[in-house]
Amino acid sequence: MSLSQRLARLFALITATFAASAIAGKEPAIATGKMLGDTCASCHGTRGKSFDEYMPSLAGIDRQQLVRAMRDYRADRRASVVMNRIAKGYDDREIEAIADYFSRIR
Amino acid sequence: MPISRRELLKALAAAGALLPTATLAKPRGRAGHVVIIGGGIGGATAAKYLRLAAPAVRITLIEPGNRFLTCLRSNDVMVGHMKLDDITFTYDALRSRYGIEVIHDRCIGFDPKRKTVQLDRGGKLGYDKLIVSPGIDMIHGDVEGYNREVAESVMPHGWKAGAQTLLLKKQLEAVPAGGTWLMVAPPLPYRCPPGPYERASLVAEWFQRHNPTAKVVILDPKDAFTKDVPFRKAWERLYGYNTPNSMIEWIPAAQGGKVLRVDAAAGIVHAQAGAFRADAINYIPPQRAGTLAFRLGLTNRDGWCPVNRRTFESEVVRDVHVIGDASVADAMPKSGYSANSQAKVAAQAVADMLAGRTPGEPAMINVCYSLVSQDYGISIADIFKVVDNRIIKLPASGVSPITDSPAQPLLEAIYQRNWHRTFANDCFA
Repeated sequence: MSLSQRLARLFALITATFAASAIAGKEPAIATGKMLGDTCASCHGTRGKSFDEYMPSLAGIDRQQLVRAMRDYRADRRASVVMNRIAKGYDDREIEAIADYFSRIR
Repeated sequence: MPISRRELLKALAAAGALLPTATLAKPRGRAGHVVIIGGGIGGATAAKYLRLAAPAVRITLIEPGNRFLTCLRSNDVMVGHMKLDDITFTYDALRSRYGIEVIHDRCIGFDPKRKTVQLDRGGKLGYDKLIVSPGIDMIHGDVEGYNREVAESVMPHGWKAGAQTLLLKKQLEAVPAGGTWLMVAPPLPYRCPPGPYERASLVAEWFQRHNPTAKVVILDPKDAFTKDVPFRKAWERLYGYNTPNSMIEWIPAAQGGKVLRVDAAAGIVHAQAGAFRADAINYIPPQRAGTLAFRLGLTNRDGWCPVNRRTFESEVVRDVHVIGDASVADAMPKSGYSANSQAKVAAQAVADMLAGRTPGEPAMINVCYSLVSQDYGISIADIFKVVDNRIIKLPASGVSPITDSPAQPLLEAIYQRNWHRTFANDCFA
């Protein structure tokens, strides 16, 4: 096994340990940013890349901009056609995971 | 351009038409071989998203047709706002961009112990994981006088896009001045719950412009339907619903909407409320999982496919995942959007299982826009979670609010049209 493979294994182990401790705590498991982001893709394009003026691209979006927009939609502070209803289906942790995912896509 | 026999054979082999059995049944690659049967919205999305999740996996898509017509927006084709070409998609991008082997053949059986599927012309194909997206088929013969022949001639269902859509269109255009267009709505569960009511609405809009004294009658075995509150409000606003001059008459079960028998030759539908003569009849029959699901033995007593809700792996046969309309998905409606969402969950689960990982938490969504007229849309949007192997709808989301803002329905109509393009790209491109 090469050094990079060993490091990858070690990293995976650490990640898994953290994930396990998160599950052991009171917070329920949530889907990954990618899995959650895939629910956005049916309107906003695969990996958040669309070419549509009404359903903008999310790929490469500023993380805080997306978090704020989703929270504002959810609280009905920002008017929209469907996003008010959709945003109500995601909690804070999920919104942050979605924002992490899309903000990292280049 | 002349083409040599050798070149032709090569081209056909590349298209998967002439691959000998031995080649197809070759040992699976280290990363595994996933066979996907059914190239509709579910199957196409699963193939594409599996490639995104598992770059090294060999993926084969089995689909008899060389193009796919979405039921989505086929109502627009019926009233002439779109052409069949606008709802037709190919498998070119799945092949060229995602390296998916697309074989145009029919699956006629499988051996779950040996993990092979039997193709009609192409022999046997081995798999590590099988994803099937069988869609729906119609149940004929539940009502006296209605059968396949009637469905393909005088009482089209138009519930699979293509020839049926064009037949509906022809019959709509042939309704005489002041005539009646009648729909028999299906019982739940069926594909696209708001579809019948969108169709009736667009027929009424077509009549307003081309045949203003004609009427739409809906015979319904149900007393309620999805988005019925905004639908009926829109009918009031647009088609005089709840007035003596209403262009749409909806007869629910409580008022005798259940159909007892049909007389195809005379153009009469006998319902509990009485006999209805019409100039065009759109009979949408009860539905069950597509024939493929039965052929592979994946169905339950009700004619649908029970699955593990977190992975969409069949509860009947291991290593087979069933997605889309055919699957039992509890609160999720049988819609193209649901199939697309389930395909992504199944693709990720299959990628995880092949790599020896435990699949994580799933996330699913359904959004359906319906047009009540070309400038008036309504929608439903729901997010789903899996709790104790049941898919539940989160309480917060839901149906379009009824407001006095003329912008809301207009924007929803615009969104609908734009969404169809983006959505089809998410599935096929």
